[in-house]
Formats: sequence, structure tokens, C-alpha cells
Amino acid sequence: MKKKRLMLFNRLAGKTAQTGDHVHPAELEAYADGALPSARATAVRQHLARCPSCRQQWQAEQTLITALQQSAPAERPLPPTLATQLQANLYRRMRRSMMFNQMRFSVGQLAAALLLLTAVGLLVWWQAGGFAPETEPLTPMTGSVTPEGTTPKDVTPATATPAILPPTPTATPATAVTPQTITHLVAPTYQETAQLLVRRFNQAQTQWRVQLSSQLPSGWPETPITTATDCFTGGSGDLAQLAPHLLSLDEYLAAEPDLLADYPPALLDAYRQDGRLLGLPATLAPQVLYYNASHLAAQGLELPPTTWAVADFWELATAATVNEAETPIYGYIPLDPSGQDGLSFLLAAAETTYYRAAPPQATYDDPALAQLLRQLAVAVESGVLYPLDMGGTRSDIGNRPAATAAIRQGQAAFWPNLAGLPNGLLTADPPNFAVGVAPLPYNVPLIPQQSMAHFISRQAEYPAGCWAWLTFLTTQPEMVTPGIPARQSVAASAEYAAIIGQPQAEVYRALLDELAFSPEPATAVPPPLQQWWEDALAAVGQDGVAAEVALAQAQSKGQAALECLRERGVDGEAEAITSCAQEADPTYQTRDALGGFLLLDDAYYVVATTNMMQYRSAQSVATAVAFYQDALIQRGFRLDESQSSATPEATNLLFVRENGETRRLLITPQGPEISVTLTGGG
Amino acid sequence: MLEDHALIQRCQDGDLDAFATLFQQHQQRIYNLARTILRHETEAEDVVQDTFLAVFRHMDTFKGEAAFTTWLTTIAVNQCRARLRRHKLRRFISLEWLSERQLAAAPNPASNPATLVEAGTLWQLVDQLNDRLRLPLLLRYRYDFSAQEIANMLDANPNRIYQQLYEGRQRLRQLAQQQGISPAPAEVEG
Repeated sequence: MKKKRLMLFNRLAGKTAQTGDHVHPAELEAYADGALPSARATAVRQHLARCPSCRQQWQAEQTLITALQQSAPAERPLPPTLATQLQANLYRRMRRSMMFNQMRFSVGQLAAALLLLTAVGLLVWWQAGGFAPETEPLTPMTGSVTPEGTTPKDVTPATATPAILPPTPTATPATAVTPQTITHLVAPTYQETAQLLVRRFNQAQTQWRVQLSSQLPSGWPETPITTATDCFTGGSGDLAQLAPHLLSLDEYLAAEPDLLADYPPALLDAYRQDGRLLGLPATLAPQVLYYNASHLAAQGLELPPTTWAVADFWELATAATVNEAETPIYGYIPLDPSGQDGLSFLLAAAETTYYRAAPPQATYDDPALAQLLRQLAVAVESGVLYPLDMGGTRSDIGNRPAATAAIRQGQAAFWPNLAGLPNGLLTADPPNFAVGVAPLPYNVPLIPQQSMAHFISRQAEYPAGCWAWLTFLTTQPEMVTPGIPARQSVAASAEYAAIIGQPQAEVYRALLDELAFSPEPATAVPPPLQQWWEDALAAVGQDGVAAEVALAQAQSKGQAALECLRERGVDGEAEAITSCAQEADPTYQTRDALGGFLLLDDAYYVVATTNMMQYRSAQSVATAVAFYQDALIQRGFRLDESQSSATPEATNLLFVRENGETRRLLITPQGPEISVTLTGGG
Repeated sequence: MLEDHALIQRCQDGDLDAFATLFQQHQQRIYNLARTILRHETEAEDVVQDTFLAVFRHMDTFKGEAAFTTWLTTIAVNQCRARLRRHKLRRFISLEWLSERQLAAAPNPASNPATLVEAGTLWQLVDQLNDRLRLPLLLRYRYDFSAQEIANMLDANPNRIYQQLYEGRQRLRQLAQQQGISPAPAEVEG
């Protein structure tokens, strides 16, 4: 982060020197302080000599600086009683501190004794089998999927693993008796499933032993993940950046042509860099619509088909809406618990958008967008659509916690989420109603970011072991990431249907048949433009503002911010985006500034938003805690289970993040509120 | 007033009277700094104690490479920042805080720049900035630390501090404009 800011500053400065444009005002103060390198100071001095505009700018800055310095309030003298009291209290604490220092030796002895005890404990635990007790009953290997078009060796590592491995330039295990250890990093959320698969793998063959980890390297994301593990499962988002640290899989794949044929070609392309395949696709996670099957059945409604249109969706959602009950049921709650936008498919179907990337352009003034927004407003008013508040510039989470709670309580006929979740929610607890799944009523092309893959580090000591393990993983119907199995034979297997449910498996098979990847790279909407869109949604859907008015406001801000970025020529920089957004909208705040996760000094601090005020109930607080838990884990925090405790109402969670030093975040629901405390670090 | 470095030398030799003198000489400054940053008198008193306790515990590590005032202020600022973080986490759903924010955002009736400067209204606007911008402005223009010293205190790069100072001044202008006042000439169009 620091490096990025410095680069921004230098780039601004460098650009000035090279192009003869104006000196950045931030740099003028550094110049006046004599803090610039001499060459740069000379350039600035020469520029100032010939540029009246910059001189005027600096004069304006100096006037404000002088006004600040001259108007600084005088120091308030301490009342004598307070000074005496402060000194007395301080001395009391100093005395205690000195007493503590005298005890330091005995405390040190105690610590040494504790360390010894811990070491002995670890040894006993290791001797007992560690993570993978050999005696634990396991799912037999023969029970795993045998994908069509592959040889049995793919699914029986005990006998086949050595045979499927091509010779590698790196070390080969000396004997099968002493297994070589490979480490695999997987998201903590999926540790449990991954652990099951590790046991299955470790027991089925003797050559390799997999150890799981969820510990990201210190300094991540600047430090590549490959420094902390031999292999890992992750997304394609940083593929270009990670490519130099990843092992090409082509060498292994050359020996297994059938394996490649089991994947959708477009999905493999998503993990290629310069023609080299760097990731073995694990799962696909397109957005789907889940539905409350119990409710639809109770209303006498037909379940959605595997192919349908947006008009069918609205008809069914409207029919499923129950307004008059004490607890209303909404036809559609579009706030995806995974954090995705649940309205994108409606925009795509209406062939409209609020932002176009090439060239960057705000398009809130598209008449089709106003038309859609008016439809959504009517849907909200009639109770078909849940009130739209995704946060915008007012809150980081909007009414997402309440929306998620409503979905879990069965108040949604339909809601969006990632495909492949057993009950349609990002939670292990099954809801008390039957859940069905349907494809989106409009086929939105996928982007590579909606999939996950397995990777091998270039530094892996035993890449052959990683390959054996990862190919084994791809044959397993249990997922270590959310989504649908990327291998078509696994998605089509009876074993997968048994896990996910036969109707769901059929939907996913149909979805895979229709699978299309977008030929265009994913468009990253600048966050302010997304937030202004959310503001417009809330203004229209909650406050009754006319769609044209709300969109005109967003258009004005969006276009001004983009023009500002264009003028500055730094459209990719987060800080420039924020700065330009604030020029366009003086009240603009980033989501970080609004709350949620605020990055300060390389540590994350959780702050809820004033919107939490609306949700003061034990249920919604528990929902919010779950929300923060997921987000913390995604941000590299680790849940310290040894110090966490759960109550029927909510959960106390302790998170730690290793980043040079340990920082701890304790989330404690206290009645209707959440207390979040941070210890450790500076 | 006794010189800091002589007092520190005596403190390092175990002279508690010297420490008491250091405390008396600097407590008012630290108290005012903490009260300004935290906007809370009782908390500021705690910071004074915590800061000097830290000085007492770590006096041996002070090598005199920076001025004692800078070292002391760095400790105090860090104590304040730790408390600010805790506040931020604790206050978010407090009604009291919400009304504080609403009050802070209320338009300021004053409109004469000269009066504003005299009355310290400019610093009332500084008080409305977020901590990322407020702290550098405070340390630079009120406590007269250099950008390099502030960078050391806040564990940041000096360039970042200059950037934040500029952003802070920009934000001040916007706030003043929103509240119908003009603290200083507006930015010149480039």
C-alpha cells in the first residue's frame, strides 16, 4: 500500500518533470521544506519561475497554511489539582511497574516451563497420529467417482499414482515407505472438507503425505502465496501476477490427454498464460437463483424449469409474494449473500448498464436503465422485491445483514448466490425449508473470476506429489471450494448427485452444457460508480425518488469523476479514483471509510455502520457476526478456535492475523450490539 | 527550564526526581495534544499517564537520535491512535456518537474569515476531518513537526504525509465552502 502511494506520488512528480505540466500541489510543500531531491527541486524551481498558475496555487496553499498556524488554539493550562492527581496516579503505576520488573525472572521461568509443556504436548499429539490418524474410518477409495473417459488409475492413487506421473526434473521420492510431505493451502472455510479428502488420499497411497494449511504468508498479498505452500487452491484473479511463481502443468498433462478432454475448453483457457496451463480447474461458481421450494409448493406453484426467461421469473416471483402475512415473503431478495450483485442479470437482459469501460463512460442516462429502475421501484412497492439498499455511499453493507437474515428465515421465494452450495446459503446450518436451484433466467456469460483452480508452486520440492494430490482432488465430488465440479464427468456422476441432490445436479449439468465464457475481459467498475448506482437504487426503491432524477444525479457525478481521472491520467489508481470521486461528490466516502473493513497501518479493523442501527435484534446481530466472520477469513485472518466460544444466540470469535506481529480481533455480541476489540500491534 | 537531555541522562541513571521534572515540563503539552486528538478529557488524562509510564519503562532505549519531544510525542500519538481505533470500533452503534456526528456536520453560523481565524474556527473544521487527514494537519500546523518527523510518528512515507496534508487542506476548503465560509483563497484552476 505504501509502495503504491509512493509510486503514485512519484508518478505525479515524474510526469510533471517530463511533460512540463503543473507541479502537484502536494509536492510544492515538500519543495518549500527543502525535502525534495536536488534534481527534482531544481525542476520544480524552474517550473515555478515560468508558471504563474503554480505560483498562484502555492500562494493559495501558503495562505491557508499560515491561517492554520496563526489560528492554532492556545495550549490549555492544566488545572493544578489535575496535574497533581495525574502525577500521583502515574507514580502509583510506576511503583507497580517496578514491582513487576522484580518479578520478571520468575515469570520468565514460568514461561519456559509452559513452552516445555507445549512441546511435550505436541510430541504426544504427533505420535498419536497428528492430523491424519491411520485408524480413523475413511471413505473407501473405490467409492470415489470414476470419470468417464479416464482410466481407473486416476481414481485409485494407491496403485496408480506413480504410473500416471511423468518424470520430473525435481526430486523423486526415494522409497514408498517414507512418504514425502507436501503442503496444500486452502481457505479455512473449506478445511473440514479438505481434511476429509486428505485423509482419503493419505490412506490410499504411501508415497505422499498431504498437510493442509490456511496460513497465508507474512506480507501477503505482496508476498506471493507460493512462498508458503507447495500447492494451493484459488481463483484466477491474480494469475498474471502469480504466473512467474507457478509451475506449468503442461508437462504432466502431456501424459494424460483424457484429462484435458474432461474440462470445458474455455475454462482451461482461463488458466493459461502465454500458452502454458498454470491451473487445473477445480470448480465453477456462476451465479444461480435458489428458491424456497417448500414455499412454492405450499403456494401451488410450479418449480422453475432449467431453461426460462426473465418474464417467467417475474411471473413466478410475483405469484410467490405474500404481502398480507405478519412475516411477508418477498418474491426476490436480490442481495446475494456471497457479495455479488443480484441485479446484474436483469441489466444484461435489458441490454443496459451504467458504466462502459472502453472508453470509460458513465451511462446512467441510458433510457433503458431508467425503464428498468422504474420496474424495480414498482416491484419494491408491491412487495415482490426486497427494499434495495446495497450501501452505496451511505454504508458499506447496506441492509445486507437483514436481507441475509430474511433469506435464512424463509422470507425469500428467490435469492441469488454462488452455484453448488448445498442449501443455497453460505452457512453450514440447513434452513428449515427445502431449497431448490434454478439457472439465471438470462444466460450471462461467465468470466474466469467465477471459477477456482488448483496450482503448484514453482518452488515445490515435490511437484509430482502435488500433481498426484491435485488430480486426485479433481476426481472427488466433495468440493474444497464453492461451486460445481469443473470436470464434466464428476458433475455428471451419481456420487455428486448424491451429495448435492438429484434435481440440483440436473440443473448444474444443464448449466454446464450451456456454459459460455465472455470473450471480453471482465469490466472492473470503478467503486464510486458502483456506489452511485446503489444510491440511485436506494433513492428510487426506498425513498420514492423518480428514476430519472436519481439517475441524472448519478450520471453527473459519474461523468465528472471519469473526466477528472482522464485529466489526471491515472485511472487505475485507487487513491486517484477516490480523490476524483470526492471532487465530483464532496460527500463521497469509500466503503472502507464508511465502515466494514478499514485498512489502517497494515491491519484491519472492523467497524459497523450506522445502518446497523436498524437491525437491533439477536438474530440480525448473529447474522452480522457471520458476515464479518466470512469477510475476515477472506482477508487472511485466522479464526483461533481454541479461544472462541459459541452460544445459542451468537458466537464469540477471536481472529488473529500474523503480520510481523500478532493482532487479535475479538467480536463479541453484547445484547443487541457488537463489540469489536483489537489487541496487539501498535 | 532544565534541558531535556540532561534530565534524561539523570533519569537513565535512576534519578526519579529528574523524571518528575520531565513529567512536569511536558505533561501539559501531551495532555493538550491527547485531548485534541481524542476529543475527550478523561481519555487524555489516561494517555498522559500511559505515555509517561511508557517513557519510564523504555527510558533506557532512548538514544537521543531524535529530540525527546519528538520521541515523547510519538509515544503519545501512538497511544491516542490505539484509543481512536478502539473508539471507532466501540462507538459505531452508539447513539451518542451519531448525534456527535450530526452536530459536527451541522452548518457553522460563522461567516467572516477573519472571525473564523481568530476564533479558531478553522481548527473546528480540521476537527471534522477523518483521522487520516486530521492527524498530519494537527502535528504539522499546530505542533510544528516536520513531514519527516510526522512520517516517523505515523510509520509512513514523507511523501504520503505531504499528500495527506494537501488532501486535508483540500477537504478543509470543501468543508468551508459547504458551511458558507472562506478560510483561504480557493484552489487555482490549473
